[in-house]
Parts: sequence; C-alpha cells; structure tokens
Amino acid sequence: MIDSGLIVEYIDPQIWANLKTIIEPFINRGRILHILSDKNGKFRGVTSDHCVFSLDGFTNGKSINTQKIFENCPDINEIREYTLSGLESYYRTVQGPEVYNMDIDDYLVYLYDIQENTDGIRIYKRDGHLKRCYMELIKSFVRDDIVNSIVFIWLTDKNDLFFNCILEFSKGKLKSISTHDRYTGAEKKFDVIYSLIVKEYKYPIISINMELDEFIRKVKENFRLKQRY
Amino acid sequence: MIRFTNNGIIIHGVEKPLYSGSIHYWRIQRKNWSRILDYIYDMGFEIIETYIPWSVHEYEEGKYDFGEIDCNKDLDAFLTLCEEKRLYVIVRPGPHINAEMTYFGYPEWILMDEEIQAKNPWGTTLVFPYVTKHFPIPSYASEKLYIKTEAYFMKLKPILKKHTGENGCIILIQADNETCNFFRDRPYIMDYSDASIKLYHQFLAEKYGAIETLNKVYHSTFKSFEEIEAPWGFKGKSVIDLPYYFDWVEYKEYQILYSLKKIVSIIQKMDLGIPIFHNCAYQEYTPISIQRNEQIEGLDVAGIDAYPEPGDTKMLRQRIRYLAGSSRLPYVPEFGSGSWFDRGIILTPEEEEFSYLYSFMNGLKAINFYMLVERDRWTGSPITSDGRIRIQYYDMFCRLMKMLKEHKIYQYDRKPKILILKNYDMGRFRALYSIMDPNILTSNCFINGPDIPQELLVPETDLKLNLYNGPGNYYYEEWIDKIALKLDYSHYEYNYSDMFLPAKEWDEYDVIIASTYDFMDRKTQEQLLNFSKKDRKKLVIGPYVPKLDRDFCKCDILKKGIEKNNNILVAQNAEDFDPSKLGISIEYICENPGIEISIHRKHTDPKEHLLYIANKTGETVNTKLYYKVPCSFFAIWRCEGYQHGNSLLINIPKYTVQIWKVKMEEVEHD
Repeated sequence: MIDSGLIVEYIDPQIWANLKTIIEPFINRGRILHILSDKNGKFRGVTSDHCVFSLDGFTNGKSINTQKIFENCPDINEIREYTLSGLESYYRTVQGPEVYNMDIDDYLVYLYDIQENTDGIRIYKRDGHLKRCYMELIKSFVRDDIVNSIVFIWLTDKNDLFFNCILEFSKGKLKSISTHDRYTGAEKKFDVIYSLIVKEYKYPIISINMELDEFIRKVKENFRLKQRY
Repeated sequence: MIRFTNNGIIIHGVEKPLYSGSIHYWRIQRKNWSRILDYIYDMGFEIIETYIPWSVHEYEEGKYDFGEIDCNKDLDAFLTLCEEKRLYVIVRPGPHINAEMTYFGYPEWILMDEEIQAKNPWGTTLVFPYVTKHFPIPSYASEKLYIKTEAYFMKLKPILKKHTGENGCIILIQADNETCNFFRDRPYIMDYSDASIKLYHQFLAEKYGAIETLNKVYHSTFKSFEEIEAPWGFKGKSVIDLPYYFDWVEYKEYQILYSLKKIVSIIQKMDLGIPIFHNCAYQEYTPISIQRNEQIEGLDVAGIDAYPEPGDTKMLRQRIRYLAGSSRLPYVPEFGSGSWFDRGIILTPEEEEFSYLYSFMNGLKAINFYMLVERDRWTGSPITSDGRIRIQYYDMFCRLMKMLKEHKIYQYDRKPKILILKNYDMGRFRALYSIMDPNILTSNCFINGPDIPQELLVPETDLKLNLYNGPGNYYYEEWIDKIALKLDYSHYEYNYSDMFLPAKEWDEYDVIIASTYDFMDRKTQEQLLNFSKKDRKKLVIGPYVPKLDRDFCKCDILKKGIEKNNNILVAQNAEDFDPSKLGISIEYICENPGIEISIHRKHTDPKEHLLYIANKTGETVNTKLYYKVPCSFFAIWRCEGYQHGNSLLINIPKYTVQIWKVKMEEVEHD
C-alpha cells in the first residue's frame, strides 16, 4: 500500500504539527503486558509503558492466569508471553531475506502474524477481535475502496482548520501526501481546495470533512469511515 | 588554506563563524536554485551544506547521472552557481545519508548484497523499518562496502576537486553521517556477520596482543582469538565473567571507529585539501565517543546532531555542555530547522529561536541548520522547495543571523570552572547487562511494530558490586543528575565530558566532579588523583569509592589518595552535596532557579562580557540579578528590564533567551 517512492511535499508546517493528534487514536489501544517465562515456570512482567508488573497472585504453577489479569487490570488489553527460544525464532524469521519483497505496511502486519504463530510466544487479547496493528485498520479501509483515488481529509476544531491532507493512491498504492499548501495563495476553505483537487487530479475523490472531536470519536468507536462518508 | 579554529573556521586567512544551512539540490527544480540561494544569502548565510547521495547519482550499478539525464542532479552546475552567489559549501557524500530517503542514500543493489549485510545473532539480517520501505542494515565490517564506496567517491572526485582551492566554494567535507549502526545502540542487536566476527577477533588481538594475556583476564583457556565466540546476551555468573562482555561492548565502539577511519582514508584519497568532520547522531555514550573520533588521523572535528522538542532544555543543556567539554569545536552539524514528516513534532519559529539561543548560551560555537529549504519528506523550513518563503521562519532567521554577526557572538567564550566527568564504563556495563537485545521494529509515528520493553530482559545476577543499574537508558546516571541539579539550582556553570577527554585538558577547570563506582580503570583513577594533587584544584567523587580496576582486580588508588589528600571530597549521597564548598565564586546572584545564567567573555576585552539569561519555564518571570561590581548593561536580544545600581531587574517571557552586553568600570578579580 505504501509506495517506496512515496512523495511527501507541500506540507504546511502549522497544520502538520497536529499530525500526532490525528494518528494517536489509531494507535493508543491500552497497555500491553509483556511476560518472559522460562522452563522452570519463572515469570517476570513489564508493561508497554515500561513499568515492572508483579505477577504474584496471577500464576497457577507453571502457567499464567491471563483471565485473572484481565479481570484485575482493566487497562491491560493484551498479554504477550514469551520464552527466550520463542523470541529467537521470531526475530530470526521476521528478518529473513524474503521480507524485503513486502511493502512496509504489509511487513508490519506480518510481524504481528508471525508473532502469533511462533512456538514459544503466546498472545492473549481481551477482545478477540481487537486489531493488533493500526496499519491493519488503515489497510482494511484502503484495500476495499481505493485503487486509483484521492483521499482528502479536512478536519476543523471549532470551525478553525486543524488538519488536512491530500493522499494520492494509484493502483492501490499510496504515492503522495500533501496538504492545501500545494495550492499557493488559495483560500484555506474545504470547498476551494476540493475544487482545486478536482481540477488537478483525474482520480475520484473520497473526502472526509468533519470536526476533530467527531473524527476522534469515530476512530475510537470503530474505523469504518468508508461506509459513512 | 582552510582550517577549523576554536571559534569557527579560517577560510583563506579570514576567520568566520561556522553558521550554515542545508539545501538538497537534487530535490529542487533547477530553475528554482538561483532564487532559493538568493534567499539563503539574504537571510545572512555565507555557507550552505548539501548531501551528495550515492543512490541519486549511481542509479544503477556502474551507471551515473550528474545532470546528463536529470538536470536537477547536475552537481557541477549547482556548485558553480554557489560560487557565482559567493556562497561556501559543505559537502556530505555519505555513504550513509538518511535525509529521509528510501534506503538512506545507499543504492538498493548495495543493501541487497549479502556480502554487505549485517547479521543478527540468529543469522538473518537486521531490518531497518523506514516509513516508506524497510531495508537490511549494512555491516561496517564489510570490505566490499568500502570498495564500492571508494568507486563512487572517485567518480565524485573530479567534480569536487574542481570546486576546491582558492576560487572554489567547497570548504568542508563530512565523513559518513551518524555512524552508529543505524541507531542500534544496544550491543547484542548486531553485528554477527562473518566479516564482523573477524573484526572482533582482530580487535581482541590488538587489545591483548597474546591469547595468554586474554586468558588471564577472562580466566579462560582459549588457544587462539578465533576460538572466541561473540556473546549475544549476558550469561555471566560473577564479576570475573564481566571482561568478556565489556570487550564485546568495546568492540562495538571499535567497529564504528574502524568504519570512520575507512571513510576518512577514502576521502583523503580524493585529495581535496579541506578539513574533514563527522556528526554523531545523538550519543554521548557507548558505542560513540566524540573525543576518540577526533583522535582519528585526518578527522578534525566531531559534532553531535540535535533535534530538540519544544521548550527542551534538559537534552540541549546536557548535549551542548558535553560538546563544550569534549570537542575541539562545539558543533552541531544538524540542528533541526523544521522536521521530517513522520516525526509528529514541528517547532514554531519562537520555539526554534529558543533552542538555538539556549544552545549558544550553553557553549555552542558552530551550527548547521538542517534544513533551510524544505524538500520531499521535510517541512517547517524558512524556504519552500518551490522557492517561496515561510515568512515567520524566514524573519526569525534574518533577525537571528543579523544579531549573531553584528555582535560577533562566536568570538565570546563560556569558561565554566567545573567539569563533570560521566562514567563511560558504567554506561558500558548497563549496555552489556542484558539477556538479549531484540532489534527495534518501530520508528517515528507511522511505524508501530510489536517491540518488547528492554526492562523485560535485564538479568537478575547478583554481581556483588556497588554500581548504578536503575531505570533509564544506559547513559543515565542518577548521581550525576542529582549533582547537576544542585549546581543548576545555585547557578554554577559546568561542562560535561568523560574519561576519554585527555587529562591535560582537565587543567582548564578548578573542580572535577566524577561519578565513581566499585570499579574504575587504573589509568583514570591515577589521573583523577593527580588532578586532585594540583594547586587550587578540587575533586569530588561518588557515590562509591573504587576498589577494583576494569579487569576486576584489586585497585584502590583513589581510596588511598583520599586518606592523604584534602582536595578530594566524597559525596556518597548526592543530596548532601553542597556546591558552596567548592570554593567557586558566582558572578551573578539570582534567587529564581527557573532562570539560567551564563557569562561569555572575549579574551581581548576583560572589561566586557555577554550575559545570557534564559527563562526555562512556561510562565513569564520577573526577577532580579545582582552583580558584584559597578557595571552598565546594554540590550542585545529580547531584553526587557532595567538597571538599578548593580542590579538588573528583568521581565522575561516563557522559553526566552535574553542577551545583554555588560561593561564593567573596573576589571574584576577573582
């Protein structure tokens, strides 16, 4: 999906300073508990925010009571349990020569796939349907609808422009990213920029024009923008 | 003749400040070059900087384009235009470039060559997860990489040579870029390729000379260096196992120095007759050491890059003071001006101004603003790639450059009397003390891999040593941070360095504060003791007194020295450290700890100095500074306040640096 020759130009710095706010709702999905176990049934835990997690009271002999952790720790959405041999196998596999044929987004999804299918690594999710990788969410959105298209995102914060981007997809690949800055001197209004995009590109345009709060709420609910807009 | 000085650079007999900015000619339409260079000149710059990427010019193996196919790639024409515009040029041919390029400026066919790839402990490659395409990290030990690099550099040679000398624009060349294993600092991530293991054995042979010497240190019975397997995680049981792991960490440093030496020697073959420098990425700890970089024959200066976040003072204070205490010329070869598109942070012009001036205040002498001109995958610069100006950034640079040049800021020196020596070996220990080091598969804000917190992989071996192994990355030392905080609170100025700073340079300071733990190499213990014995010098150590050397044999030189020497203070507890006992006078008294003060002097005029005042807080501050002798204050930069007797009453907005020129009626005496 992401072309290795991706062009990113005409990025308005003031608008782009808000990028993190836009990306965060896709990524931030609670804490992950990482557990290292050895063959003697010894465990240690650390959360994704680098805090040591005591497993006292969460073990049954040589296994972890993951259900109890989920019940007692509502902020933990996923538990990943590793053995050292499982980690070795995982890092050997995901860095093999064949991975360089993939696009970077496919590679990210592949990392999670292999992790779930490596002996010596076990993944437990609070919600079995939880997407593991935010790139999966974006790809599911892109893959179905977008072959040759322009995605034009325009977000306002109490009617003031907060963020915008123009994403150019060709043959299903993201080829370029820009903002309204590509149209020098144009009025910073959705309709104006939209009409300039129509003039410049031959592709159909999928536009998302909404208030920031609404965007974040919808992303958090479920990333199904394509069905609604 | 061109050479670095302590203040900047001498170009054909004239000393100039080294202030420059980056532009990528091949990423700009040639028709816009002239207008953009004019804008740069108008902002006050005399020097620009550019990469010369390998992948751009050797588009297929053995096929080159220097403008014959794509006119934007006409390097010769670009350099000729710079000469017409009377702009000097710093060139950075790599081979490592980054510059947010897919493959970091290396040609794809180089990276995909198995003889060039680095290896993880399990025999496969090292993935670098860049946002447009992941790629295999090359090995610094690969001979083939240097053969191919030399072939490319020799293609550049006639073009570059044409633009050096009395009438040429090229004044400096950079050897490689951020040579640091692609930011993989942890020792067991890489490099286990055959070439690297061979180099590891070479390192051991150079260090020990004979295998018997190594066996004595390792308590082992190896018959040859080649028999020794590289560790890929700490499996030691006691202190006697540590030298083997220390050596692997030292080898990682050696490999980087080896790589830089190779690139420097290739550049020397180009015979350009200009100084060579290097930029470290961000490290002031293993596997990097700028002092040792500067000991490489032919490499004149090593700087460290800086990309601060808004309002950052902690990182900048530490990094710039480390440069000021360690480098021949405190130089940031890449200081963020704008940002790469997937960083998630872009500073406003006001935030950038604060970070630049705060750095000058802390001892920065030379700077390259990266980037002055936007380009693919970069925004927030004063000039856009199509030749427009971003007025707020542009104005900020115009005003800043005017002030820096008008007041000859580069001729003033900050001379603190205190040097903090960080414990490089403690960083090495913290690096080696890991069960394993998985590669990092996350980068910036778009690429989110399933990484594992390093804390999960810290061993639980009881080595029965007093050392620091608390939270934080391995450059962090709690004792040092607490001591520095105490000094900051009382407005004492200091620099940072470590044991690689030649001891003769320690004499510039009246006080050395060194972090010490149970082990410290014999040479450093002796040097510290010798310093403490000198007239009017003081040594502060802590939190522990060393009793072992780096081979973990008994060595209590400092301990014995303390018994005989009153100039050594042991601050076991940093909280109890009292800076007033150091006997260092403070020139300005200010009761507000949120205000930072620095004094810069010009040796030609002892009756005058520059007073920098920084408000490091998010609130406007009204405060008073008292100076001990009669003087007059003159405003230079963002000065709001007035003089009342020997006091200066100031109003300083949040995250602002003020600069005053102070003229004393009499020369002060300490």
